[in-house]
Amino acid sequence: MIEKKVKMLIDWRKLCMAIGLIMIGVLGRILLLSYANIETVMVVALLSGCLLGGIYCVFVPVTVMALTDWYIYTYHYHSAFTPNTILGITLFTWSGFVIAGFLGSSLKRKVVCSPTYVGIITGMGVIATLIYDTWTAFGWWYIVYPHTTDNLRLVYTLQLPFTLYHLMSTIIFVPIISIPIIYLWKHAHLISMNDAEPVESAA
Amino acid sequence: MRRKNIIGWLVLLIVIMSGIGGLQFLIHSTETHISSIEEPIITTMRIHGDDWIIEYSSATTNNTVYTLLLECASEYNFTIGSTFWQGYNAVFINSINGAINNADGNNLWWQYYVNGGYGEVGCDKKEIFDGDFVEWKYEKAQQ
Repeated sequence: MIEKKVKMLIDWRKLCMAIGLIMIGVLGRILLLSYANIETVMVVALLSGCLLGGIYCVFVPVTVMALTDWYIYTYHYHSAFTPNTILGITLFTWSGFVIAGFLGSSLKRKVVCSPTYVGIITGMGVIATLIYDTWTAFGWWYIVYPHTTDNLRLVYTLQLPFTLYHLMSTIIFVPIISIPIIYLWKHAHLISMNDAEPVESAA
Repeated sequence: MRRKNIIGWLVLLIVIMSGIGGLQFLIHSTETHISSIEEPIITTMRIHGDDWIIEYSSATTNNTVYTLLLECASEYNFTIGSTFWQGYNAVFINSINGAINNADGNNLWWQYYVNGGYGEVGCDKKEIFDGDFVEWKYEKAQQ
């Protein structure tokens, strides 16, 4: 009886996809660490929203960021920031990707593996990237700089080239990663206990 | 319908390719490998520590803010702590003459100015010219 209830509560197909997305996000961010703002977390956040929705919009990007930030701050930038600064930065970066996840969830209906749909996700990725960079640059100003409008202007000016990098990353990775993932989601039957045992019969 | 799809995929391919091209252009355009020149230039550098100042004038062939700082450190025998941040392809100064960035959370950081203008690129990327005045200031992150 309990097993049946668990089966109803956990959508294994979604969970498997979430784990797959987390792996893509983690591997992409670590392997591309040498290139500023070139990353796969944005596409993973968007896909968690448009394919999985709900709590996965938070779970997937936050898990990716938690795992990779732990690695990056431990092995790469450990001496550059104080714990308080790191905490402040992560607050803005993690929430930025959660926002991207929620933006992705606005495309959840009628997921199809078509050029139009992938194009729409890419467009949403561009919007999400601009929002993310605006939000995190504000965070950088709020945490590190004295709160003056001149400094805010300076931070956004310095952010510009990195936003360009980030936009290029989105334009490249969102379609490249979305196409096979959406195809898998629509065509391949991953481990899906809900498919094997419909909710009605379980209840 | 099938033809429309093919055109759609082609458009996406073009978008991806233009992204790759744009990225290559950006990476290439920010790469500078200039660190020294043949003809010497005359520059002045002033380093403002928390309670000390170092002044240095030189006819030098080191023509980036970073290499000039290294030259000054070598000349006056003080230490420079720096990290090459691969992600940003730039050198970040951690300490000069014992004054460390954000020591004990004091929010004081090493920042440089050339002719009064705030350094907006890594100090190893900032080229300097004859007559330039370089300043390093240990101060709160601000312009």
